[in-house]
Amino acid sequence: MIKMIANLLKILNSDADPSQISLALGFALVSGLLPFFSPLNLLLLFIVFILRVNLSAYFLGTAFFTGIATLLDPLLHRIGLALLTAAPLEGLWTALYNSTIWRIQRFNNSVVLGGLVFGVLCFVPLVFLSNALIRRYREHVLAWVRKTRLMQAITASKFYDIYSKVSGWGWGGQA
Amino acid sequence: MKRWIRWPGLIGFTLFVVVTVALWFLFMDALVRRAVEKAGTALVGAEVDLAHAHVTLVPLGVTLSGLQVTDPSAPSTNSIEVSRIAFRLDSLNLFRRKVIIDEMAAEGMRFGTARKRPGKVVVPPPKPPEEKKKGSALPSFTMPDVKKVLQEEKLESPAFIEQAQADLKKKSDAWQKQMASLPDKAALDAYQERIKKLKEAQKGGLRGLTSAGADALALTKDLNRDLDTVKKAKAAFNTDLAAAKALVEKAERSPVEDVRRIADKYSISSEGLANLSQTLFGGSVHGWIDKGVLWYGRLKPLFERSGEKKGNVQTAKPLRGKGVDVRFREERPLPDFLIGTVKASLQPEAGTFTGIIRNITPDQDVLGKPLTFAFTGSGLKEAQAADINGTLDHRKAYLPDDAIEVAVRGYRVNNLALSSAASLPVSLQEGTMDLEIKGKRDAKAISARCVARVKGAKLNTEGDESGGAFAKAIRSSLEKVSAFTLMADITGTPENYRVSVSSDLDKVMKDAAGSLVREQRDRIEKELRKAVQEKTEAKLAGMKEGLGGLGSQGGKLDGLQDRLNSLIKESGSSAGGRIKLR
Repeated sequence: MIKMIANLLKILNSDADPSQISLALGFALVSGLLPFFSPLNLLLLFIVFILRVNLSAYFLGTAFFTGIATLLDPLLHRIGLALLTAAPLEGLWTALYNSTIWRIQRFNNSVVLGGLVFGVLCFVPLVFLSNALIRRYREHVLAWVRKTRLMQAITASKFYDIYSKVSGWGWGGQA
Repeated sequence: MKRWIRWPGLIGFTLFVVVTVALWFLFMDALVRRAVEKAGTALVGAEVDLAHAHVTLVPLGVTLSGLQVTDPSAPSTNSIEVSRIAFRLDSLNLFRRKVIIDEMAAEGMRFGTARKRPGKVVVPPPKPPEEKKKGSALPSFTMPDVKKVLQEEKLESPAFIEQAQADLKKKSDAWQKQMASLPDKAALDAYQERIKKLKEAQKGGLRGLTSAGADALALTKDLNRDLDTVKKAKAAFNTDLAAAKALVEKAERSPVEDVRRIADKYSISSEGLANLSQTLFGGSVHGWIDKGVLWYGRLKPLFERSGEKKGNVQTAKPLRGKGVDVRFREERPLPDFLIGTVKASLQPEAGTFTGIIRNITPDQDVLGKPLTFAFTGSGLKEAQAADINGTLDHRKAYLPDDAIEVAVRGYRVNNLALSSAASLPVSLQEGTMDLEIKGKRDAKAISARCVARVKGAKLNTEGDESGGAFAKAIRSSLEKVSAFTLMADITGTPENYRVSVSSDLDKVMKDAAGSLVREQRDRIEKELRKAVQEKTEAKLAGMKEGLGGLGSQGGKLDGLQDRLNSLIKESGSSAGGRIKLR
């Protein structure tokens, strides 16, 4: 848990663009709510790698939202089941059900569809909200956090040194 | 745009995918092994172990070796052990999340093998209800202490007699009140006076005759009204008296019923003696059937999917995983899971069976075919021939239709436990058995008959001395048996069925132990009768007295009716016979 907080602080305190971090968190939300070995997750991973989003934030966020997904399972199941059994959508689902590409996605599972829909709906609000929060954090809290012992310990570590260099290459999301 | 694209990311993604795929290939066998163990454990409810799994990609196939399934009711043994299972998967359908296996080979299947260490039981088998447990316990063969028995058992007769006595008193009091409302001595005397006056008036000439006629009519009307009232009261009384007599008879019988009930509990009844097979072997037979029913329930997800249908779509709980899978109409319907044919070779202790199981799928409605199985024993070491055939038809989940037929001829039995009662354990040490089982199960009822004919039998009976002379007599009679037939009939609903066991051994055991049992029963009954009589004798006498009291009310009613009749007669004659009286 402490390691996770330290990692989060590292990302927030780096020079990475807030929009790259928030976009990464948005993708992490969708990835976390979908099954780990899902073809859609592979597609998301491709997007995350090819777009200049913060990879550390993405992986950290995915781990976090995977945990959240377990708690949200009953809600996701309800959303998915309601959509899958909605009479007006039956034609659409039947067409998708008969398509191999969509069957691979396992869209007909209540938790998978519920997770996907919930993730997609929350994607934009989360990106905007996290973007605003990161900016406010950097304006008002960053200076104080940098003075804390934990942050000083982090910045003094070899790992941070490597991270800073890698971030410079663009893997951390920095331009 | 360029600001947002990270071309080196393409290399990173490719590397990530390559490493993941390489790792997957490296650990694929272990992953499959783990998945089989996990899915098997969830299905069976007890630990499933797999020694090795091997996956080939071209063509896509899986070979599993050393599969062991723990017996949930005996965790130190395997319910089934399979040396090797090999099958090929339809890779195209796998992309559609459909596991289609055309043919599977299962070799070296054995049952009841010992495990190196006890397996974990995830879902323990249900405990048999108390009623079923009793079937395996033998009744006490020793003479019980009647004083102790009476302390433990509640006698029903004293309370019943007291209640009957109270009822009689209530009735008697009610009739006493009713008698008060009927004509009493004064009323009858008044009638007599009026008749006397009527007679005197007749002597008073023509004028007297005129007034006497009117009086006679009034008198007749009054007498008839009272007679009607008395007659109605008499009829009601007779009904009450008959009910009271019946109650008294029942109350008189109640001590005898108490004696019989307690004696039945603490000794072997005549019915029990006539069917000792049920008492002795019922527990073991029930145990075998319970085991079969348990496995039927646990393997049910393989031939019937739980879920519900809403319009054109069906929700179904996947075998593993979260949520539910919603199934829609398919252009070319195929089950989600199907093993077309399993060619199996079983190796029980009896020898080698080969057989075929067809259409293993939880989606029988989609496939349109039921699960069938047929096994034949060939070249068996310990049996001449064996055939097992069956159908599990769950195409309509609400209308299941299952059937099984087992025929084994010349099976050489060794040490088969027939009764595990401590006081009288019985095992078939050796013998040749012909076994026939025919069973059916539908949505409402289950019915099966199992017949085992044993020749060249050597029954082994040991045990402690708790059974006393009775168990000794049974033991010596069973030791002389060389051939017998054991029959078990199963009837009832799938959830609550009854097993009744019968055998020609019943006669043998009855002949051997009948006199002992009767003697013991007579002694218990005699002592019980004496003790119950002491507690009920006085109460019975009081009750009979009450009945006598009620009967006396009937005597009074009779007297009253006779008196009224004679008054009517007298009144008629006093009117010179001119007035017709009833």
